[in-house]
Amino acid sequence: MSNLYYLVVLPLIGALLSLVLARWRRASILMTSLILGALVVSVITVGIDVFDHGIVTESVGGWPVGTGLGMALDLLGVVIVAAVTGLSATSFIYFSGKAQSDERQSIFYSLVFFLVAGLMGMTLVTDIFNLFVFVELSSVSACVLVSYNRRSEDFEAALKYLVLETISSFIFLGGIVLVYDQVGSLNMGVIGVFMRNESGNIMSDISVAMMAIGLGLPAAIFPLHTWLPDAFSRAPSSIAALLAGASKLVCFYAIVRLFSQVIGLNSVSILRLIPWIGLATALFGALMALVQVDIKRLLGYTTIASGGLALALAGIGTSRGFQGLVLHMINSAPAKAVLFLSAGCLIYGLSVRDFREMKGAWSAMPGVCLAFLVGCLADLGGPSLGFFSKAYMMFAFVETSALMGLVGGLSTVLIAASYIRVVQVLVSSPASGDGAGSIPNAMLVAIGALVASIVLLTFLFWPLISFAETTSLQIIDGMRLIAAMVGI
Amino acid sequence: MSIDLGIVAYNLSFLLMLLGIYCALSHSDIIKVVCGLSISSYGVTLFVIQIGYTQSGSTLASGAVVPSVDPLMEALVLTAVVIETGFMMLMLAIGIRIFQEEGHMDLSLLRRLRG
Amino acid sequence: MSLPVRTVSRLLAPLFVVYAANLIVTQATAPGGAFAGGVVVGVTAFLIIVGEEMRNVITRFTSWIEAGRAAGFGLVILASLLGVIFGGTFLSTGSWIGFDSSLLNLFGFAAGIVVGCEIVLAFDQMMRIEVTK
Repeated sequence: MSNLYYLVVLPLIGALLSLVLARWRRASILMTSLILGALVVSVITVGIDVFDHGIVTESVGGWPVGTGLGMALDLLGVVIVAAVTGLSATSFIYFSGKAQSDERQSIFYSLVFFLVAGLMGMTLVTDIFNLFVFVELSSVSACVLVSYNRRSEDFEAALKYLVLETISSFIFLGGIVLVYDQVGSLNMGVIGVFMRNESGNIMSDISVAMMAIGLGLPAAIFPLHTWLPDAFSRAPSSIAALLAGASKLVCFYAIVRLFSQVIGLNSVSILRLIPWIGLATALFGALMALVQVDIKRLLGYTTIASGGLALALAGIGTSRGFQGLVLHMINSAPAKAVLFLSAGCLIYGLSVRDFREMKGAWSAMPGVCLAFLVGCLADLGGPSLGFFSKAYMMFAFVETSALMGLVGGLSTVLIAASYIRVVQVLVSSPASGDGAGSIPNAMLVAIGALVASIVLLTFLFWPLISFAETTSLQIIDGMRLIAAMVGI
Repeated sequence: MSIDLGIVAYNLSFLLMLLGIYCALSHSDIIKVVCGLSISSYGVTLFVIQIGYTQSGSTLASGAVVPSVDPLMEALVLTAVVIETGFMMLMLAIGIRIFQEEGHMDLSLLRRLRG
Repeated sequence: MSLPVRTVSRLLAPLFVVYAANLIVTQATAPGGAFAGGVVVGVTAFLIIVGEEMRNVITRFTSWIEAGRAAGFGLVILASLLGVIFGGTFLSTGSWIGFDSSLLNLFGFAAGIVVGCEIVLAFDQMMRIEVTK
């Protein structure tokens, strides 16, 4: 079970079995639980392997790692893989709360398994073309899942995402091919060696910029973020939670691996723009979140903003920046998920999407509102692991440039303002005597599990900080990952 | 002045890609957007094939130096074509669903999501 | 649809299916070969649907085609794991045991079947959508 390919094959087996077992509901739920359990076991054994050896690589197809395809996982990758598995499990649990017909349930399960397989593949690959393939796989699955509820607004959101994704995939492919033209190999390690030593001309800048556009669209970076508020507000809440927590995390991991570790932030001059683009994203997302009235759209814009802060950390390149990034990734996975799931519960119970009409939710659904509050605090840097991630983030920004610290702090304050708007309405006294509908137990279980995990991470802050230091040292030492990928 | 035909061919395929994107952006009918994106994907695949064509590739067996196509680029093109086919089919399926709900396929009339 | 279209589609559809089967079986190891076979099968299905005389051929066999898709998908996963079962790495071709790239053949063949079934089912679903407005 400790081989890396299980992480990709198990979700595909799950997708296949959920298509086959469509008519037998109990069997498909049992099969899903077994596959998720096997995934958890696999993640744990892979994690133990990575903690022992630092970086685990594996070859695909019998060829040695340098000449053929390979899979590699480092310490940050273990965090990502664990977050994807955990969030998909809570997503399934939350989804089972709503009544569905057998056919719709099997479609949902198989699509989520395809999405998980794509995300796992993105974290594992060591060559850029397979990265492209897995990015497109996860984007297509996410697009179909966004339109799961089949209203015309959902299809509009899915179409917007799909058209933008298609265009960015063309640009990504063009960038990959331009890189191949210069380097002669698609292996990330060989590309890294080339970029660090021989990249002086304009072609390397252009090709790296094209690859950044291709990866930046799923990660929702400033000019390429426009699909996210529509998609996250129309997707079912379990899918929005999975995408906000897991898919963004995986896209940022791919950006960190490709640009910060392999290519190296100083090798190609265009990569020095990354922190500023990230801060522009953060400011823009925070500003747009202030004027939203739909609660999930507001959460979509704050997701863009915190993603922008993570990108700025990835682009700075100092060790404190990477420590902040690791802690931010560990913290934001359950935080974003619990925000979206509790917003979904509020919408389900009160039957309104506009948060200004959710007055008195605290007295009607105290647990859900408390979960929303915990999520807000974790996202903002309140008392939780988020505090340490924000502290490292602000230290990293201020060390690099005072303007960065100013913009980062301003974005955080504006995100806090948006959250305060929502929480203020939630805790105010009820406007009318309308009580809330009852919430299915499965949804409450999913939300409770995420809140428990946020609390657990808070108490584990000291080992997590030392883990972040080890991981950031590994990220800065990109040559080690390059050596693993090339097969030395 | 001698024109290097290789660079002209690269630029033309890139121009095709841009024309396709312009076509996708300037029309409001979903079918025409899909057509434009198909044209763009043809441009990108042409570009990829041209990168693979070398004047002096040599095979492992005979060692002769002949103009040849890089097999890695062949495989890349075919995989990209599969992915683009998937995208186009999905776009058409969503277009049919929008037609079923709204009765038209005009993107400029879909105005429910704002802000 | 007019009479020439219907007649020609009725005559040509079996020919296309045979050609598609040839593509899937013989081009499994060629780059992207089996996918072309799958697409030809899908286009044949579209031809049949447009021709309208043999429309019920596809409608009657939808559950068989879904089973074929699931079987093909399972065969793809099995082909990628067979190398592991016999002691190699993931997705290995088995040539070092003496299979001489036959596992890759199986992988390509199964991929072609999956693509063909999926495209046929997609066209079938698209034609079943009725416009209510």
